[in-house]
Amino acid sequence: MRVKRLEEILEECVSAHAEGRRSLAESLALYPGLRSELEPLLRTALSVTGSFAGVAPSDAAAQRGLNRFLSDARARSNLKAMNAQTKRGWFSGAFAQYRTSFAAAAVAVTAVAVAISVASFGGGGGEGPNDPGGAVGALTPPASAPATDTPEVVSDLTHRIASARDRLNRGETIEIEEIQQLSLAALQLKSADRDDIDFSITQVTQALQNLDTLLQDIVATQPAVATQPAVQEAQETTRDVAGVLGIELSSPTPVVDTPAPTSGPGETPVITDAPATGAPTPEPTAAPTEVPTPEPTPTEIVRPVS
Amino acid sequence: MSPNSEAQSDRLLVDAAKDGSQQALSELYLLYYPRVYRYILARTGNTYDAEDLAEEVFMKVLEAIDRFQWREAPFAAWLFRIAHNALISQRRKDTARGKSAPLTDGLPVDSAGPEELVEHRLVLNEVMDAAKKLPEAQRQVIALRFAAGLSVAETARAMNKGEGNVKVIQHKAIAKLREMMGQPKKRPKVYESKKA
Repeated sequence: MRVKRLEEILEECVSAHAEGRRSLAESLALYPGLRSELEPLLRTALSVTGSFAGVAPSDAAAQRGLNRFLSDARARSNLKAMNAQTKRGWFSGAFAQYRTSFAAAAVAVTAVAVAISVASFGGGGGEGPNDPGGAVGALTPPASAPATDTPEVVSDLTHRIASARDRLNRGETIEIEEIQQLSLAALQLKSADRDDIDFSITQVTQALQNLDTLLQDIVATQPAVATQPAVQEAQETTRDVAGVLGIELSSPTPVVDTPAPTSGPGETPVITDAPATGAPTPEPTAAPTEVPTPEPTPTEIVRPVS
Repeated sequence: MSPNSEAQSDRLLVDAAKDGSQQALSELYLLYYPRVYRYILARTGNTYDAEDLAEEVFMKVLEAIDRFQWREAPFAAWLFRIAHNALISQRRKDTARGKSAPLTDGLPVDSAGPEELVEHRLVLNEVMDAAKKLPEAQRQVIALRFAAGLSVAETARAMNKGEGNVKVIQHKAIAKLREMMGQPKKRPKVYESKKA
């Protein structure tokens, strides 16, 4: 029979006590030969266990943590569901986001093809190939570079808001995926290190305020039914994150000269807290007219006259 | 509840939580939040830090729960690894900012009478003071085994060590605590009676 080492016996006795299988006395009775060594160790172990047994967090802290935990879980679950819903249309959405670039690229490719064909057929009309420079891949650069000591989650959100704001001001459509990304970026603030958030609370407040204003402007200028659930979700997330971080968002003054979208069954109500005195007015948005999307130019093949 | 049925119920709960069940998430939180709190309290000695950090741990759990795999570790071991990493990260930040976390004067203790409460606090303060002088691995075992209530197997997985190794570290830690605290004097009766 294998002789048990003292650490194994000690552990066995500690576990037996913790599971309510044996008392201290019963354990000592099981190992009479080791009693003198085992008893002080076991008493110390039980004393340590007992000293922590009654320690509990305050009810307020536990409740606060639970509320935050569940609200974050809900927000994540909603976003996941929305992502799944829009997954099928992802490619078309992605294409729509860059359709201007694609259209320009198509024009450029056509022009190059024409030029090549002219040159190879000996037309030599004296005109060089069109310069496609700048037309392809003209993705929006970040409107403002984040400060170097700003936590990543904050600078990411700031960057996304600036980019979306820039595009909205230029009259471009903010797609569902982009709105969801904004929402996710805001949500990240909740799980960010609290010290980091406190450290950059001014930027965080500004970012959430800008996001709130941006979302309201999207609702005002982009009354497409398809994007409204995503905007509403993002608005709720923004307010929830602000609430968790103890930030009070001031409601922006409604844009009065923007024609209100006609009421319809899919209309999303805007969160309308009473406008606070001195609430910042949102930046004027671009004309809420529909942005003309350049259709890809049909390729016109110019054949040289023989 | 036996360890086996406990593990089974944990599995059901965690799987439901992974599927997004609010009820399961809520139960998981209520089950583990006090244990994570006690673990962090045992490591920091500060109730405010323990409350805040335990809350942060659960936010990180939400972020990572989709990636949790049963075959890699029991849930408790996985959770306390997150807690340990959060603690290390917090310490690094505190050091960089020159912040120190002093022991909280009055540790909250759920106890019956005022006499018992005072005695409980004395014992807890004594244990925490002594534990502060232990080597890191021993402190970690004490915090996981006795404050958080993890089994030896779970502690081993959380610390990425063998079970035998954990038993040895535990033995050494208890022996050292005994030296530092002296022979335990009269303790509240609950320590010496069988747990219900």
